[in-house]
Amino acid sequence: MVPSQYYLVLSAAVFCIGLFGILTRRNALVFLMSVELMLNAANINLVAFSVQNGNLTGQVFSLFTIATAAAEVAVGIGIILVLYRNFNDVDVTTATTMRW
Amino acid sequence: MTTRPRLKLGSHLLPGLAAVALFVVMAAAFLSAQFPAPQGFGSGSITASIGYAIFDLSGPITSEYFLVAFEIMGVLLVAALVGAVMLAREEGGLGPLSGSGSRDVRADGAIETETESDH
Amino acid sequence: MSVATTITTPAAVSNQPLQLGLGGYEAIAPTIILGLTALALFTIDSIAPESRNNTLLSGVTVVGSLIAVVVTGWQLLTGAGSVELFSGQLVVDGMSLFFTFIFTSVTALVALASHEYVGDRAYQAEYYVLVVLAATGMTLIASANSLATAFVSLELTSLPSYALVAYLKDNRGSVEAGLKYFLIGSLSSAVFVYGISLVYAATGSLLFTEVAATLSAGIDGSLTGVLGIGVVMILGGVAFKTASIPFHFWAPEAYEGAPAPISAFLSSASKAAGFVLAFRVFLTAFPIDAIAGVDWVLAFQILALVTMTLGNFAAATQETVKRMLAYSSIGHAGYALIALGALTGAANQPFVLSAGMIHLLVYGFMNTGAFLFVALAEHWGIGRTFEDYNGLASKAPVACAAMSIFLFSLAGLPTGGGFLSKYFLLIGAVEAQTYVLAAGLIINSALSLYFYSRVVKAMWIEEPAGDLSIEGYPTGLYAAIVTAAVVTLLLLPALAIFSDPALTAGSGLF
Repeated sequence: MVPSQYYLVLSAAVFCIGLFGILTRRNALVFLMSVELMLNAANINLVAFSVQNGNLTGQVFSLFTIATAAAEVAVGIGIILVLYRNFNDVDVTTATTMRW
Repeated sequence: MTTRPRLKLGSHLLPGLAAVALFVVMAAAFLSAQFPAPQGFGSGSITASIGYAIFDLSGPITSEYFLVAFEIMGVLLVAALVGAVMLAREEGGLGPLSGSGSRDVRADGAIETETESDH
Repeated sequence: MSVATTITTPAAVSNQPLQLGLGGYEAIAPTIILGLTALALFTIDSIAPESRNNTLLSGVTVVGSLIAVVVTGWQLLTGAGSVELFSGQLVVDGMSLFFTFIFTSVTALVALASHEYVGDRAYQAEYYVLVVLAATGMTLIASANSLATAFVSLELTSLPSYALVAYLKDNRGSVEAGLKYFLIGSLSSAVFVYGISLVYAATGSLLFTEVAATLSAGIDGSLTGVLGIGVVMILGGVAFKTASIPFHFWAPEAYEGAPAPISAFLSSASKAAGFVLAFRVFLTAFPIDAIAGVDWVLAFQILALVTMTLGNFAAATQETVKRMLAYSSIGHAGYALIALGALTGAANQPFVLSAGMIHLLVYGFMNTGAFLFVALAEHWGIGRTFEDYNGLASKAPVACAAMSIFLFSLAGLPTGGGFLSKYFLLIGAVEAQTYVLAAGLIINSALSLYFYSRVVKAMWIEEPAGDLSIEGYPTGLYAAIVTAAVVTLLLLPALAIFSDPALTAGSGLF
């Protein structure tokens, strides 16, 4: 059995890869994919520590986060669609009509 | 003709250093954590216990109860559906099959819609 | 104020008498009423999808929210103690009822004002349904007793809000606002759920009371890092929802670009939802004496000071009224954060918490009214800058008088409940010996008087620039604005009605 702290490091790596994608990429769809990565990092944690703690709370809650991520992506793609129809581009940096 | 994807290196990667720094900090904190031996689950079906837990019943394996979260998820999926459809719908009243792909361009440049052709 | 004598400990699972009738569902009656309102709106829309029954939809929403307001107020004034439902997933106590009162009243005002604002647009039923579902999510956040319930109901609040901010699909500002709000919102909910998973890793449970019990019994010293990062990430998620620095970047654009009734809804009710989440998570799940080594009180003190200062200084430099109101709402979030930052050892902790709750109640009405006035100006086609408001009082004196009440009450002058709520926060901060917070409160209130009075000066004193014409006086918007103004005025003498339940609710959490 792999010690549980290595699952923590794995989920931290996935989380930071997602964060890297959010900070450096400009495409809105890639941004959404990176958010999905971060949500799945939490799922890794939840399932790993469900075994560690001996109860099923983590596994059941990870089902809920998966469903929430799906719903969030649905609304997000709706917003990106509206963005594309208005600005003809899915780049998150083109939409800057409102200034400081 | 297609070209293979190229890795674009440049100064736009600088904010990513924050993510790398965060990983270093988190890994340092996590690797120093000592966990006891994993308790594992007893005998019993995990899937059945998950089902029991979602409906506030106690199954073979202990868990907290999640009925309220389950009901809220149902409402959340409805809300996401309403929001997504409201945003994505196209006005124009030509029906769901009237996207930009269903028009044919004739030889003289005029655009022919589905309703005008006699298929 | 004397501390109320009825104090209940949340750790006791035994039910205090809250007149439980129908198997306990009476306690979450406001949530169920809002859910039934959404169902009624769906039914109306499915019966007649092509016609636009704007008055019917708006009326159903207002009636449903008003019934929820009345039920909540009745329970707040007659009930006592707390009750846990569904084996610990939900808790209904004074704090949840207090905040449910805020959410449902803001929903009623926004629905009343939206009658004219979305009157000639498509997708009206979707608009009202999303508003009511977001309000339902907020009432569930107020009643959450488990990290799982809190997260799922937080998402139920956020997803309709993302869609509502981008509601004006052909308006570039609205689309851009919706995009920015969604991107930063989804990022923050990912951070929040990662923090929840780390807390689960360190403590083994998601229920607030069990997490607190595990922490009090002491966790292994090497797990403090895991727990600390988890608490910081949960703090980050909460800081996004309350639009605190450093996660405030979405707020000015979202409030400026969104339709003005939705800006009112977001900046009043959604912010209060973030605050009740913070109160519940940090006071019940991470009690100050149990969690050694993760000093979140200090973090909230820094957050409060930076938020109120930056919010007010940025508001002073704005040129458009809506953006100024957006930054001022960030400043007010900083004031309300004093409720969490002043929980030091020397403080009268229930009083500090109740001061924050009262401030959020009064702020809900003042801020909603201010944004609804901007909605009225947008409906009339008046421009967005301060100069475009010149001489408005000559054409619409009632509305401008209401707006003056809102602005002066936001600044802390004794024209409305805003004066008393800031005064309570000040007393709480001074008693807790967090003098920096008290000084920040006074200085920022004085600064805010400057930019609020810019609008008042433009409306009443300046001459109208050329052809300022107004066509019609929309009843829904006027009714909502006048109601909010009357309530703001009345909250100055009548605050005692709410301060006693707030104090009882606050002491129930310690």
